[in-house]
Amino acid sequence: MNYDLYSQQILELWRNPINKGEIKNPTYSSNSNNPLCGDKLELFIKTKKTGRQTVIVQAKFNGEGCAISQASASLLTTHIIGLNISELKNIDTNLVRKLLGVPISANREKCAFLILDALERCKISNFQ
Amino acid sequence: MKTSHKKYLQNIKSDFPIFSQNSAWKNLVYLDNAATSQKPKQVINSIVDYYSSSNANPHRGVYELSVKSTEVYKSSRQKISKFIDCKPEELIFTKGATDSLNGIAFSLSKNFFLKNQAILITVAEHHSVLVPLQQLAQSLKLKLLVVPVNSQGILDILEYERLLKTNDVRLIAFTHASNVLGTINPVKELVKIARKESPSSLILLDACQSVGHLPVSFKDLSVDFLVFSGHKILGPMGIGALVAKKEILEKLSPFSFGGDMVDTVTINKTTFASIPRKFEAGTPNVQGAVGLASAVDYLQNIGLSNIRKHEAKLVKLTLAEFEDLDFIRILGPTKSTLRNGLISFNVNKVHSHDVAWILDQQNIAIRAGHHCAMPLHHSMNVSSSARASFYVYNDESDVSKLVEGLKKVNKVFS
Ligand SMILES: Cc1ncc(COP(=O)(O)O)c(C=O)c1O
Repeated sequence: MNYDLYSQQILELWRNPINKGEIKNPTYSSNSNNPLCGDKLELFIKTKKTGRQTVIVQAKFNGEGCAISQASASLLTTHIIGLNISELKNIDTNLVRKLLGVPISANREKCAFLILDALERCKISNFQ
Repeated sequence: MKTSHKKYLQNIKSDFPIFSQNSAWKNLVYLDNAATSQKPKQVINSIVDYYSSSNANPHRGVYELSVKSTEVYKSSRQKISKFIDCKPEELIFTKGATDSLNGIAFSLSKNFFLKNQAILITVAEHHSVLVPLQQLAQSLKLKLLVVPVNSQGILDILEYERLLKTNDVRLIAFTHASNVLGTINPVKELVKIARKESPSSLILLDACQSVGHLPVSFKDLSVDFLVFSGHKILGPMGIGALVAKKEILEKLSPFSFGGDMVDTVTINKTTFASIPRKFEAGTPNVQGAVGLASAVDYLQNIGLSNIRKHEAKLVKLTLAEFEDLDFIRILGPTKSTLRNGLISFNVNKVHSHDVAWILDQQNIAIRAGHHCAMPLHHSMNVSSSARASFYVYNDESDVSKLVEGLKKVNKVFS
């Protein structure tokens, strides 16, 4: 069974999610829904200005969902911490697929990319 | 045929090309029949036959081929109306249940309700019932009353009666069998109460999960409207029906306008054709009607009470197996006699999508999500559920595979 091989990371993140929780005074935040299953995802981002750079110093997500939506939220929040917000423009579905490392079928795209939707809804000006 | 139904059901899979030896899906344990069923070769061939030997625009040509197409369409309507036990002119072909329901909502938006009257539904309704009626209620400023279900997923009949007594209800809509809870509603009892407490109400029955699974008689149930979809009962996608009492259809205004549904047309005025054509604007879906008629033949060959028995047996077995799995929580009644052929459930803390995902790895197809019934899931405090639904080609070995599959799900996510 191939899931034993390829889903280890996803299962591990299901057991021990990274960056799950809230940020008290976020610079950006958003709410997303997956209409397929009614799942909800909240995203919180804190940025800091240093000179002419604006850097993401904290990113957290909250909400219940399937293992794939939870894993992609853990992975993407981890990925964006430390990025300059101008680098957010490089973030797309391909990156999320790469981070997850498992094939995402058409019917699971909504789950896998829910975190991307949440990031878009944060309306960070460099990521549109 | 009826006496040999057991044998007939045993060999039934060979009628379905999707399960045939050279199909990529030959070993698939297909348990998403409440969403849509697979199609037997008889149905597929009937559509090929229609296009190979009878295709022309019906009603519109005087040449022989058009007459043939008209006859095929007409005889399909006759067959399906007999199956559902209504008069042929009481059966309107639609794209499916959703289309039928939107049609009813549109037609009733004209000259039927008075302000502050009410529409009564149940919390277990599919979005295709809820949303059109909710929109109708909002646009006409009507009350939308909702009957709850108890913790066993059984409709609160006392509350149903109370709401009818204390409100000016004009339209009552409920499902015959819930696509989530599996509960079969006592339609006759609900109709009896409605006729007594709210005699001017029209009653609409969503029969999507009962037609084709158990014997359903429009006449006997005595509702005013009944809707169902062909694709859930071995027929093709894109065809379904709105069945309604003749005297109601005659008064009801059409919900779709154009060719074929008219008598005479001038620039300023149109008179409509008689029923059923008044409700079927445009070139009809003849291949859909033909396919559905063929599906009806197929189902009647097995016998609807045999199908009912078969599904009840599989549900009973599944419920018994689930009782031994402490990580499963079922939704709906624990008694199989109160259910149709489906079971929704949750696995401990595992999301329904993950349940479906791990089962898919084992070649088992089930449904996961809210099954187009979000308010019902909210009312039960679950965000989603997994659902296994049976049909004629499923058997005991599918139940064992499901149970084994679920043990694996529990192990993977422990
Ligand atoms: C109970 C119930 N009502 C209505 C519908 C809507 O049917 P369709 O999507 O074929 O229009 C379905 C199935 O999706 C159903 O299960």
